Amino acid sequence: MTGHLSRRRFLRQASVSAAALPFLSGLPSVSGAALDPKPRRLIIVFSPNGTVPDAFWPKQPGPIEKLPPILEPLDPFKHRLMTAKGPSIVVGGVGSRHIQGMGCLLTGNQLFPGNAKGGGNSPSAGWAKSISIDQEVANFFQSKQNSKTAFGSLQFGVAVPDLADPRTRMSYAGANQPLTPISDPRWMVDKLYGKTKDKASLLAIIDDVKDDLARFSDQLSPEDREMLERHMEHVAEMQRQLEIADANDSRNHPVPDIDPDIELINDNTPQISRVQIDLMVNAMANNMARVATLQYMRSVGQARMKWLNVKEGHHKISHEPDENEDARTKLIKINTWFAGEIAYLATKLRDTPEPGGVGGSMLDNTLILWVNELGKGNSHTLNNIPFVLIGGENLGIKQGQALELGKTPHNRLLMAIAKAMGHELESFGIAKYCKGGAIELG
Amino acid sequence: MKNPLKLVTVAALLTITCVASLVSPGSRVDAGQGEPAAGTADAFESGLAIYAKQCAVCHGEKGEGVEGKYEKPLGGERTLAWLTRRVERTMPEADPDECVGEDAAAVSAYLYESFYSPEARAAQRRLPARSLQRLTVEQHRQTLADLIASFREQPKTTDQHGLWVQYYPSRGMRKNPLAERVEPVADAVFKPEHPMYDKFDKKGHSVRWSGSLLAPETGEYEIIVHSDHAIRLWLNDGKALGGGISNEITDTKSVALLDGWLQSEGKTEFRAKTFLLAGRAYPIMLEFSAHTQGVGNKDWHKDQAAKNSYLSLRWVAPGGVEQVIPEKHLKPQKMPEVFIAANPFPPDDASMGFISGAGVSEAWLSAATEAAIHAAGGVVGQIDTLAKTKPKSKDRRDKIIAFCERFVSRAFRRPLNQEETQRHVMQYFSAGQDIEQAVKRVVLAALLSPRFLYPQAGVSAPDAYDAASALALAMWDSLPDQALREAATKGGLVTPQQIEQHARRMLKDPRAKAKLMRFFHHWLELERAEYADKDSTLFPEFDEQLLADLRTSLDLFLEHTVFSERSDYRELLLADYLYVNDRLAEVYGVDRGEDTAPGFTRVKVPADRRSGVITHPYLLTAFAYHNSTSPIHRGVFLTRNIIGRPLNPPPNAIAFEGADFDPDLTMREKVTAFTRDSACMACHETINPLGFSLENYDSLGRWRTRENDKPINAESDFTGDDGKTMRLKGARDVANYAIQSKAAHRAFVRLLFQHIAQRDPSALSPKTLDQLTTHFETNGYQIQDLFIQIAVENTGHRLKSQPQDDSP
Repeated sequence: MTGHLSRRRFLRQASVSAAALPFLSGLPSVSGAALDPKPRRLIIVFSPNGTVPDAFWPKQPGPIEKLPPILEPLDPFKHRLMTAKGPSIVVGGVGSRHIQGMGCLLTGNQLFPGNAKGGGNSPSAGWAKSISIDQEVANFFQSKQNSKTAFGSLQFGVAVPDLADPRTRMSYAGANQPLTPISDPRWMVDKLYGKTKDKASLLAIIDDVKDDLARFSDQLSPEDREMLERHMEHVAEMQRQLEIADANDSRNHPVPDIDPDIELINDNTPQISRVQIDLMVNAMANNMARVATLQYMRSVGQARMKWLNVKEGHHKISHEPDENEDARTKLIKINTWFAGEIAYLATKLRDTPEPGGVGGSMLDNTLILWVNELGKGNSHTLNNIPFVLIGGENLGIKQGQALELGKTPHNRLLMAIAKAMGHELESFGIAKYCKGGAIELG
Repeated sequence: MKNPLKLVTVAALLTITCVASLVSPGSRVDAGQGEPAAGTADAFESGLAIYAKQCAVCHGEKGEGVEGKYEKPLGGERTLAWLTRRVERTMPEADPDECVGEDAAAVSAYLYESFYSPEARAAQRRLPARSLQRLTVEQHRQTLADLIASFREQPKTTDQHGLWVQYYPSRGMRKNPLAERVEPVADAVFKPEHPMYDKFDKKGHSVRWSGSLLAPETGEYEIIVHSDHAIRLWLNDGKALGGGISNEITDTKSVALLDGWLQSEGKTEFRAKTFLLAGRAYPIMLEFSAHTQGVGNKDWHKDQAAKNSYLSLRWVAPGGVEQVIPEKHLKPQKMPEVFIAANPFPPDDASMGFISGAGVSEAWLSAATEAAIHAAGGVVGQIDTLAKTKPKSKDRRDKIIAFCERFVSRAFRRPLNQEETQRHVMQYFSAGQDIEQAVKRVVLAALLSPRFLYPQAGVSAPDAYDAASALALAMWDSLPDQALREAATKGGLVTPQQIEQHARRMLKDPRAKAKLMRFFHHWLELERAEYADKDSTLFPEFDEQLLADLRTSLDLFLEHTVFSERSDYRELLLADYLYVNDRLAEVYGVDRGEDTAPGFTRVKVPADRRSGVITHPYLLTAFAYHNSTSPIHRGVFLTRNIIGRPLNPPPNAIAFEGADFDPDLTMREKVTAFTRDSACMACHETINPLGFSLENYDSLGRWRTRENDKPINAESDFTGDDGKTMRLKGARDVANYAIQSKAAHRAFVRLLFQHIAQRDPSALSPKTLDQLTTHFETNGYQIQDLFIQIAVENTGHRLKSQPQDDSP
C-alpha cells in the first residue's frame, strides 16, 4: 500500500469537489429536514477468496441453534442474523471466476470485455455493465427529501491495493463507472470533516486577519482606507457566518475523536479496520450517508495475516485442497477474523441509540450484508456465495434463521435487499435471472 | 454547432454597439508637430462672450452641462482644428449658421484653452483619489503558483519542443527501451508500417511519452486520449515524474488524470477537464501498453493488436476545438508541478475598459479564502519537500519555521522585521502546537493578509521592494523571482537602468509572452470571435474547425510580428502575409506555391489585398453579421482601437436590420441610408469611411470585388486629426493613416499601459502617456520595448529620479 500517495489522490479529488461547492455552504444539515420516521440503512461488507463451507453454514435450515465456527464471533447476534444459502452468481460472461465474482456480485450483471486477464482460459474483462445494488439504493434514498444525505453513500476500504481493476471494485455508479473504496482513514476524515476543519482553521486566524487589516489601514490614505473598510466588513461577516456554521457543525456532525493517523502497512490492518468502522458508524450517526460499503482487500487478495499467525498470503492458502488441514485451519481463522470485524461493527451499531429520538438502536434500522466473490476458494465456485444478513429488526427480515433456498440467481437476493430498504425493483442486473422476484426474507 | 440560441446572442451583441456617437474623438497634437497656436487673448475673450451667448444655454456657464440639454461636461482630447470644424458645421444645433467663420474660430479657441488643451485636461483629470488595488484574479492565481513554486527546484528551460518518447519491446516497461527520442506530438498508429513495429515483442509493446505541456492561456483545458489499448495520463503531478512510474499496475505511484489502464469495451476515449494558468509548463506523462494486464495471455499476439492499435493525445484549449496537442505546446523537458487555485472567482472590475483590482466584494473574499485554504492544504501536504526536511529530522521544526518566514516574506514581497515575524509566523508555533496545524494557520493568515492581497497599497515613496513587486506584476502578473528579490536586497534595483535590465530579462519568460498575447487578444476584441457563427447556406465553408484555424493563424501572426526582433507596431498593421494551413489556403484562395509542409506556414499575399492585422480574416469574421459584413462594427473597431478616437455609446441605439432594406442595395448603401441623419453623422462620418474601407472582405474575411452584382466601393473621404480631408481607398490606407497618427499611437500606448499596469497612465503623471508615446515613436515602434518602458515607468522609479516640471 502507498499511504502517502493515496492521500495525495484524495487531496486532489477533494480540491475538485471543494471548488465546486460554495465555500461557506458546508455540509447539509439534518436539523432542517423533517425527521425520518423509518430510517433505513444498508452496509455491505466484503471479504475475499471464498469461505470454508462446512465451517460457515449452519448445520440445518431453520432457527439457528448454534453458530458454526466461522460465525462464532457473531454469537451476541445469533438471534439477529440470517444466513442465505443458495443464491449463486450465474450471470456468466467474460472474466475469470474471481473477476466475475467481484464485478457481478453487487451488479447482477456481466462485465464488459476488456484487458484484465485472470487465470485459466477465461477471456479478459473490463468493468461491469451496470449499477451495483448499493448505489441503486443510495440513489433511491437521495431521491427522497427525508432520506437524502450529504454523501449518499460512502465506500470504505481496508487494505485495498491502489489499483483500478475489476478485482478491486465492487461498487459501480453505472456501466463502466467503478467507485474507488477509500482505504486511508485520513482521507475519509478529510472527506467527511475536511470542510469543518477548514472552518475551524479559519476561525482560529480570523482575529489575526482583522488585526492585520486594522494595522495596515493605518498606513493608507483616507480614500484607500474606505475601500479597506469594506474589506473589513466582509471579513467580519465571514467570521459571523463561520461561527454559525461552526456551531451547526458541532451540533449536527461533530468531528469524531478518532485518530486516523495509522501507517498503511499490512500489519496495521486490524487497527485500520477498527478506525474505518468507527468512522463509518460515526458518519451514519451524523446522517452523512445511509449506504456504506466496507471492502476488505480485494478479490484474489493476498493479505498476510500475521496478527493471526498466518504467514502465507490469503489467496494462496485458499487454493489448497480440502485435505490440507493446515490450510483449512488457517482459512477458518481468517474468515473468523472477518466475522469478528463484522461483530465489532454490529456491536457499535447496537450500542448507538438511533439518532433523532425515534427510539431503539441504530442496528434496528441498519442491515449489514456480508458478501464474498466466491463460494469456496479452491473450487472457485460461484455457487452458494456465503451471504450473511445482520440487524435490521425494523426492516422486515426474519432473524435468527438459516435460509436454504437451493441454487437460485443471486440477483433475487439483491432485489430483496433493495426491498428491505423500501425500494421494490421489478428486476436488477440481467432481467432473466430475476424470475420469481425478490427472495422472501420476512 | 449551428445553435440558433448562439445566433440570437450574437445578433444581440452586435446590435448593442451598432450605432455609436463620437463623443470625444480626435487627439491633441504635440507641440513641435504643428499644433496651431491656441489663439490670442483677444480671440479667447471674444470666444468667451460668444460662448456665454450661444453655447452656455446647453453646455452650462462653465461647460459643466445642463440637465435636459447637453448633460456631459465639456472636455477631452481634441485638436483646435477639429473643434473649429465641428462648431462651424454643427453648432449651435438649433441653427449651425449662427456661429461660423471668425466666431467659430474664436469660440473654439476659448473651448480649447478652457477644456481641451493638455493643461486644461491635466487640471480636470486629477489623479484618481483611490490608488488601492487588490490583486486581479489572474494575478492572484499566478502569484499563488509562483509563491509555492519558489520553494521548488526550477530547472533551466530549453527551447526544445515535442515530447520525449520511449519505446519498450514488451507490455511492461521493465526492460531497456528499444528507442528513445523526441517526437513532435503523441499521435500514432502501431501498424506494421510503424518504424518500431518489427522490434515489438509478440507479447505486446508499450510506449511512454513524457515532458511538459505549455498552456498558452489561462482557462479550462480538456485533455483527451483516444486509444484502443491501455493508457494512463498524468498531468501536473510531480510525483508521477519524480519517482518514475513503475511498470507494475499493482504499484501505481500516483493518481492519473486519465486512467484507462483497465480497458473496458465501449471506452476508447478518455477525457478530463483541468484548469491551467497561462505561460506555464506542466509536467505530463502518457503511457500506452498493448496487451492484456494482470495474468499474461498466452494467446495474445501483436498482429492482433496491429489491426487497430492507436493512440492520440489531444486537447480542447480555451476557445479551440479538439485537436492533437500541437508540438509548440509540448516540451520534452519535465518541469516541476504547479500549484493552481482553480476555484472560481468573481470577474474583475472592467468598467474603465481594462481589468483592474478595484473593489472588493463578499464573493471575492470568499473566493480568495477558498484559494487560501486550497493553498494551505497544498503546502501542508508537501511541507517536508517545500521546507527541505524529512518527517523524522531533528531540525524539522526549525526548518519548517524558517520556511514559514520565507513564505510570508515572499507573500508580502519584502523582508519581515522582528515584530512582523513574531506576529505572522512565530505566534502560531507556540509550544505544544501541532506543526502541520501551525503551518496551515501561517499560510492562511498570510494569504488573507492585506499585505498579500494589496501589493501596491500605501506606497508613497517606492523602495526597491516596491519596485520589484511592481515590476513582477507588470511583466508577469506575479511575484518577484529570486533574481529580483536578491537585487532588491543588494541595492540592484535603484536606478531606472537597473530596473530596465531586469525587465529585459523578464521579458524572455513565457509568462511575459502570455501577458502580452493577452493584451493583443483584448485589443483585437477576440472574445467577440468566440461567438462568431455564420449562415450555413451562405457560408458552407464555415465551421468550428475553420474558426479555430483562423484563431491559430492570427496567433501565429501576432507571435511572429510581436515576438520577432523587430517587434514593430507598423508591421502589425502593414504586413503582407498570412499564416495558412491547407484548409485556410483553400477557403481564402491563398497560393502556397511550392510549400507543401503540413500545418501552418507564412505565405506572402498581394499587398493590395491584405494589410496586417486589420485585414486578418479572423477579425473580419468576428466583426461581421452571420449573413453579411458589418461596416459599422468594423468601423467602430477601427475608430476606437486602431486610429484611437474614443467613442461613447450612442444616446439612442437603433438596431441595424439588414432585412429592413431593399435587398438589391449593397451593404454600403444600406449603412449610408441608415446613418444619413445628421445626429448620426457626427460619429458616422468617422465610422463609415473606416468601415467601408473593409468592404472588399466578406463575412468570412475573403476578398471580394462584387456584392449583389454591384462592384464594391471601398473608397471614402475621411477627415484626419488635423481637420484635413483625405481619400481612403481601402484597408492599407487606414493602416498607413494609423501608423503616422499620433492619436493612434497614443491610444495603443494607453491601452497597453492599462493592460500592463491595471491603471491609466494619468494615474502616474499627466505626462506619462506623452512621454511613452514619444519614446515609442522615436524608437522604431518597438512593442516589446514599449512593454518594458511601461513596466519600468510603472514602478514609479523613473518619476522619482527625474525632477518633474509639471505645472502646478
